[in-house]
Amino acid sequence: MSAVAFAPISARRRRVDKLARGGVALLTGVALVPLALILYYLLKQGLGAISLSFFTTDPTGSFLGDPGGIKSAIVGTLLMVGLATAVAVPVGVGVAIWLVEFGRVSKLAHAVRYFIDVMTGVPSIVFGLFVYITLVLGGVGGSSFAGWKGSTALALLMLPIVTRSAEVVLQLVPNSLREAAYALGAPRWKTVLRVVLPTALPGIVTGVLLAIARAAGETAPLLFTAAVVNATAFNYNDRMNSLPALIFQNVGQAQDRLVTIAWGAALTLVAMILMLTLLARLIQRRSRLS
Amino acid sequence: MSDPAPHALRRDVSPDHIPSSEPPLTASRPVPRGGGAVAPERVARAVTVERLNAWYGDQHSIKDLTLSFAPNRATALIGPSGSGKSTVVRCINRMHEEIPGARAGGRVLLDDVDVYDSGVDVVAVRRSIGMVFQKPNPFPTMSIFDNVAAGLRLTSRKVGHDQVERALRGAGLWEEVKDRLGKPGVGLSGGQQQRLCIARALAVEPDVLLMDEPASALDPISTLKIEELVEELKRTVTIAIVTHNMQQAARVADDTAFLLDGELVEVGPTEKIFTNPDDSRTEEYVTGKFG
Repeated sequence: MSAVAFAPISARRRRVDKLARGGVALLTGVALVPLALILYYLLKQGLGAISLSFFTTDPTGSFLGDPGGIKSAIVGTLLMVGLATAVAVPVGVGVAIWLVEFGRVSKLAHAVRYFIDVMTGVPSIVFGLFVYITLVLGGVGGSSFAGWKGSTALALLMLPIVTRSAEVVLQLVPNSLREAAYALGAPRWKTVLRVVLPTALPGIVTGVLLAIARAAGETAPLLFTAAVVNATAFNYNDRMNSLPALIFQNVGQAQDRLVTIAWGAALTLVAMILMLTLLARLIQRRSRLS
Repeated sequence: MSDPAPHALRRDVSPDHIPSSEPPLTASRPVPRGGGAVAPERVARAVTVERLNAWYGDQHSIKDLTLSFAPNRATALIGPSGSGKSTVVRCINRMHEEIPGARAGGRVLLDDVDVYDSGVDVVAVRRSIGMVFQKPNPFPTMSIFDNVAAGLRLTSRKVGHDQVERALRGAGLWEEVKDRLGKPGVGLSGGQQQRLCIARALAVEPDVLLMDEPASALDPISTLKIEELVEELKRTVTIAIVTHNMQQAARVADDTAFLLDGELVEVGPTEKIFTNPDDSRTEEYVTGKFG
């Protein structure tokens, strides 16, 4: 027999425990409700629009006849987000590396961090306006509205997201790994490239995916930069359609067929981002050591 | 020395100086202890610290310290927490200056080259003076093989399988990992990880190995293996080992230096320090009266 006697847990503590557990479970449920509803409505309203021709034909813009598909919007979104990612990711990760590995606590680094925070808070339409005023009105590149100008606005939007998330992840890389590399005689740049970046890669990828998802869903920066058109364009100097812009345009139309197309486009957009996320996770798991 | 060219720190060494014909170390194998009984296979370099001063910001943590580490011998640094043991070894391979706000002054001679001379490349210094840290820190994204190869690859040198094998044998880890060289280094046990880190340090063929409390995060059996390894490693490198554990110093070190508040109190053959020290503070510390 043990000589130590523990007092039983009081009824009050049991009650509080139950209440607290119930409370957090309830809040989790509340948070899931809109998410589930969004997915439900997307599938319910959007699935009806989807067919093979939905993905392979351009919108016709015809009010009475066949409204066509969303090919130009899919192509435009892929091209513009792709270009924006290709620009924003190297720059953003580069800035994050500089902040964590070199700038550290210098005055310039603090200033850069401050501006990135400000940029994160800038509404997306402001980036659109900025590009509209500088590039579109100025007719830079011999075009008014153009795909690359949309990409520019999206890249500006992605840059602070990529930088901030990469910075946080790079800071999480234990200093002992950097020290181990330095102690082996590795120069600093090689330590960053071969030790720090690979260690931080999964986190950086997560941040990049967040930024891509955000950019792919933005309407405002594209409306006055890439415009809304029907035809598929592969030339970055042409006007380009995009899924959010197409949704924005169609959902306000007084025709159920066009609204249904908007739902189908929304479902397509969500599915594209989901596939991208899954793909990135898969590649990441492959590249990890087994 | 007036010619402190970095090439002086890159003396080519015989590629087979790490014992490769040795049977693997086991805990049951008797190993000669102390007194430098092991015959050196390669003459390593001596380290001489002269009037070393080190600061962390305003805090003056090493004060005018002068201390020699004889080649192919293990020298233990003992002393209470905050006495500057780790700082001294971190000054030897210039890792001290990696800490923001930290600086050092004085001379640290590797044979006769001052590693703090303005003409000396810090990268070359660290290739000659390897380091093992308190907590095992294998690179998490790399396999066992790649971890050992990392030092060579990070310094733009080619890596052969036999170099990795030799380093792993030198660290007494080969027999345990030879069938899973492609597995992640972080999948090993703590003691194995630490020996992996020793292998990683050995692979770049240093002249000196600094060990900063290499066993303090390990269990007794792993500690024993590391201690046996120190005995083996003296054949090829000069060892400076920081330890909190006085029994460990007594077991592995040929010489022992006692530090207190950033100053050297006493240095001498380990046996003398532990049985008949000159300074009363050393006696009080080694007999457990403080620290």
